[in-house]
Amino acid sequence: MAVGIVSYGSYIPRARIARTEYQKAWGSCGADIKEKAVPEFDEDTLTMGIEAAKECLRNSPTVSIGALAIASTSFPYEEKVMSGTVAAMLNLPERLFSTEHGQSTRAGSEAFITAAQLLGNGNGGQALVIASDAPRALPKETIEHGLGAGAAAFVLGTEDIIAEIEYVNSFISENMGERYRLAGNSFLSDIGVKGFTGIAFNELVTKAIQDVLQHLNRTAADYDFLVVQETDGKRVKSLAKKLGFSEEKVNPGLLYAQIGDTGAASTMLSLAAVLDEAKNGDKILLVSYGSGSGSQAVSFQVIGNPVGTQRLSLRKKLENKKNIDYVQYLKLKRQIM
Amino acid sequence: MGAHISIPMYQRSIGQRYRLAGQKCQACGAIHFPPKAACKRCGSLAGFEEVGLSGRGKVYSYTVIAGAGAPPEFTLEAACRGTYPVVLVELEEGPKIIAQMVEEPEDGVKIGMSVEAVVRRIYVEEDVIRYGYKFRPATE
Repeated sequence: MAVGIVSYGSYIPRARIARTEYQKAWGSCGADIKEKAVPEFDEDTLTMGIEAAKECLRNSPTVSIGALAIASTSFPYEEKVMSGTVAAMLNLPERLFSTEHGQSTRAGSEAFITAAQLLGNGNGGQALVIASDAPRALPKETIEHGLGAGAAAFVLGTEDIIAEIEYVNSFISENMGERYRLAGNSFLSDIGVKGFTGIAFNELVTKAIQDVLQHLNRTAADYDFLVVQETDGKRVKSLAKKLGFSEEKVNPGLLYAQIGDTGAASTMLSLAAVLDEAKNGDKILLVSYGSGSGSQAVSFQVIGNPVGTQRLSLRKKLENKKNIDYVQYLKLKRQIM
Repeated sequence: MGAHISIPMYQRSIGQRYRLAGQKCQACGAIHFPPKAACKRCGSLAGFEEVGLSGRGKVYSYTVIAGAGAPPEFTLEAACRGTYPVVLVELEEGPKIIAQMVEEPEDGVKIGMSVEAVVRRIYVEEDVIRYGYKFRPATE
């Protein structure tokens, strides 16, 4: 039974802090951002996820939703059935198979793949996937400079599909010291050795991509779009080049420079951006990465023309913004409040 | 002194607060929000059915909270935003409701402007996050 994306939505908070604000405050900016998105004082990963989900559900009734999978590395509660809050806000049925994912930035694709497999097993007519994130670190840490915010949502189903899931995989390995958060800590740590983490990233993403190509008997040239977890502004571009994916296939999914590292939402937001541009017959390869480490790949074939002309594309949404300075940023992050 | 709302009281109203669940009079069809015991229009006690309100409406009136005017549960938010507008919105379905406005235009709120409801954190009390609706300028 074919399972795929029926509709999608996205949300980027309006506030932006520019690279120059970091340079003014700290002398330099440790991330390759031009600017990044910042949740308002009264926003969190739940409210952002609801925004994305509402856009996604705008034209479809919620009664046929039988599964809900949500993902974030920074849910507003560390323990609580967050999907219950989501269901109450979106008026979803109470009889719902729900799962919650948040152990790494790979959580977005974990939720997506889990929801697809629940549908494949016959759990309800449609599944809702929400990935929303706003990772946090202390202002003194370099890793903090790149942390952004955003949310994406997808309705998956077996009918009226716009992008069919062809194949999925998952790879894991042990990599210590790379972006982690010990139990009880609200803020991310990183031992700060970029070269070391770059090697882990390259290895696991490459394995996931090569496995897809081998399994489907394809080459990089067979894909029209490549979406890879954006942990910084450079890795995805250089790895894609090494693996034979041209810039035109990678650029439509790149969002880091404008919204920062969106953690568990990264690949899901990039997928939404790519779907805005995709045409009938296009093939999309998505690879997520979670530090410590794991990767997952999903291969899609676009069916029909998914572009919703009645609504704003993700790129267009990025234009609705309001610049804030570093002091306001620290207030919104509750660092000086 | 803030208007303390206990968790059980808040819990009972999450339909309204989370998804603008209104009620439709089974006798005359009038739509109410928040829920009433009897129909405000026809006085009927026949009962109501739940209807989801669109959240779209127009600003009927507004005020701006400034200085030390915010209730204690909004003190931090007021300190962060400086001033913030509170709007009385006439919903498409008829009811008029009050809530904060976010993403307000730079030149201020205008009576008659189109708005839409959005779920936000309202405040945190007893270490429990209270979610609810606010309004922002309509996006379409």
